Amino acid sequence: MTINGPFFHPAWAFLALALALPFFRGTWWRCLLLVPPLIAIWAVVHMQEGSYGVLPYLGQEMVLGRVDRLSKLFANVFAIQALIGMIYALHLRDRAQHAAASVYVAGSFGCVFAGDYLTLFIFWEMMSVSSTFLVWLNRKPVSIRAGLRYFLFHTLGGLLILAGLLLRYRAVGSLAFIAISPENARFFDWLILTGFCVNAAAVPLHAWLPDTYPEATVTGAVFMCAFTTKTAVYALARGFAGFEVLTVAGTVMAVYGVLYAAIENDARRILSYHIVSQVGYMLAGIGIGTAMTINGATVHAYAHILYKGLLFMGAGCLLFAAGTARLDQLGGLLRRMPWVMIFYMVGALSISGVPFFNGFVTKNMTIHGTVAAHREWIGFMLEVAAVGTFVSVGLKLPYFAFWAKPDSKIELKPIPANMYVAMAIAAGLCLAMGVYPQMVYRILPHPVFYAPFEVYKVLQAVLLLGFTGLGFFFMHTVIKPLPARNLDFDILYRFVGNAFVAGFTRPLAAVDDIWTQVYRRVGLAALMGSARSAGVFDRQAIDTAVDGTASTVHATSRFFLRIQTGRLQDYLAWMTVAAMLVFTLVWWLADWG
Amino acid sequence: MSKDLGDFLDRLRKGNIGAWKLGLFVFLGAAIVVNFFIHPRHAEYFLDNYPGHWAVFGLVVSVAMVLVMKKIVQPLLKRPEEKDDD
Repeated sequence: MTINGPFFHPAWAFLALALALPFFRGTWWRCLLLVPPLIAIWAVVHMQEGSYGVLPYLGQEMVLGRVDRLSKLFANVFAIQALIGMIYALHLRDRAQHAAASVYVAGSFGCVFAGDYLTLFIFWEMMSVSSTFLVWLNRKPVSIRAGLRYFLFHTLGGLLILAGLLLRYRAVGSLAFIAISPENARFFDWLILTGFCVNAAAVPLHAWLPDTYPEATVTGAVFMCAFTTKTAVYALARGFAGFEVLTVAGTVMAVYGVLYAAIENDARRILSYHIVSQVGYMLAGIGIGTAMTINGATVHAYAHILYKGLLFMGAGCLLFAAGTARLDQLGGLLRRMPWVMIFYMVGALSISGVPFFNGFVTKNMTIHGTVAAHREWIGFMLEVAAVGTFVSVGLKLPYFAFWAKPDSKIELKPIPANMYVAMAIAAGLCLAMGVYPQMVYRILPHPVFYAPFEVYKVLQAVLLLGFTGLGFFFMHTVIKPLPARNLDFDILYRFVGNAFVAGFTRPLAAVDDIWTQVYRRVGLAALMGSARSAGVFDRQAIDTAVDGTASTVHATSRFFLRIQTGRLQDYLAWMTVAAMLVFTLVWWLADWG
Repeated sequence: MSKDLGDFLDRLRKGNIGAWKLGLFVFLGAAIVVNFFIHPRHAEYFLDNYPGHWAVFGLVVSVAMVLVMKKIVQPLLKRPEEKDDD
């Protein structure tokens, strides 16, 4: 259905900002950073369902604006998070960071509204490139290296999607981005699914996330934690609901992420592993594919964007003020950073699923949906992950950052007011959604038949989390963070990279070296020989011919010079000779003819 | 305002630790007692019929997770942190 109604694609506002930023001077332009998110919020609120921006291309239709309940839900929270992220970054004068963030957000909107795989792929790659800059612009050697690994891995994911969509086009003759049923999925669909899973950080394709996010800029990480994985969640919910492999992958992710977070030291790496874990809940819900689990997965994505952004903002404040986010170097900051602690704790209690915070009304819907679909073991493992989430994000991180040690004396940079404002907005939304979940339940893809605040559910959460707290109390000396980096699957792709260098680059360099020697010894000698032959040919043949022509022209000229005597009788004589020659020629030709 | 709040939180932090602990234990004990009177409408797991099982679950899983990951797994996975100026 194509409708020519009012539709403004939010991506254009962000792209316009990114294009204009290089031309601004001074600092006044920073107020413009808030314009695209505000336009996006307005646009999303006012857009009607339908297909917009349909462009014919190569005999296919590119659909830039597919608006339905699913795309509107994600666009809604993307717009809000873009505003929060821009407010958090408002103090920055580095226009490159703002431009990268704008293009990145534009890419997310482009993916969410894409009605075909080609449009999706273009915006998908736009996200990949711009987010790499959000890492590189941290301008540290460790960030440059992490960004390169990130980019290479996402290029691999993008290529899988590209291969899948081209093979799919050849097989079915369409690029439409529609739901694929698990029974009819063919190998190219699995390629696309794998490409999506790269961005969703599905284990074992996840290692780029905890490898990279801790090395991104303070403000860049706030954007990255919200958009990349959740755009992939949207794409999977749109195209691959009901795929059992996602249920398994999601459950593994949920537990795997919390296990690693329990032993990590860097605050942003702990939060990164919890993205893997939380996205695991979403993938499990999408994989089961019932109305309740799809609702649970998508509403959890909504809540996750808000609280994870808040958590990254809190950890970003630690990094910004103290110059490090490593827990072994922090501690005792409670008195000096009380508001950061309070806002962080709102995010921490939200992700942990404490009643009246937004994680409680979304995570439990997913778990309840899995059990209702008779997948009790999946639900059980998700509860294990819930315990691990509270241990690491709700207790360990704040305990070792704000408490744990005597009053910290380390030098702290003052935190700009805009960062507090952004955290306050995010914290307010986490609480509002936790207290009044209907504000999001009513815009979910399917009707909601779930009551989050049944007394037993609240009691269950209190018991589960309360006694997890007791477990932490017993274990708080054991869980003390160590200054170490723990091996993960990133070792695999670092190994593959090094193996590629050892297996291809070095042998090719060696062959190239030999070839250079051969060229010097043989090729160069042959070249010199042929140059000498050419010289001889030039002198003997070319020069002879050219000299011969020149001497002929010279002789002819001398002859004509000689016959131009200026005497009339000479010319008459020549005319007579010429006339006789002409006459002889005509007579001969006529006779011959 | 930030300083006042910080000082207030600091006073709470350095206050009577014993009272905080007692408060926590009383709260947790009360939650288990309440569980004897409040049951799920439909037990999702058979263990839901046993009061306090989510308490045991939370305690056992959190302690086991920390012990296994910190004492067994991390010594195997631990490597030096990457330095900024490497």
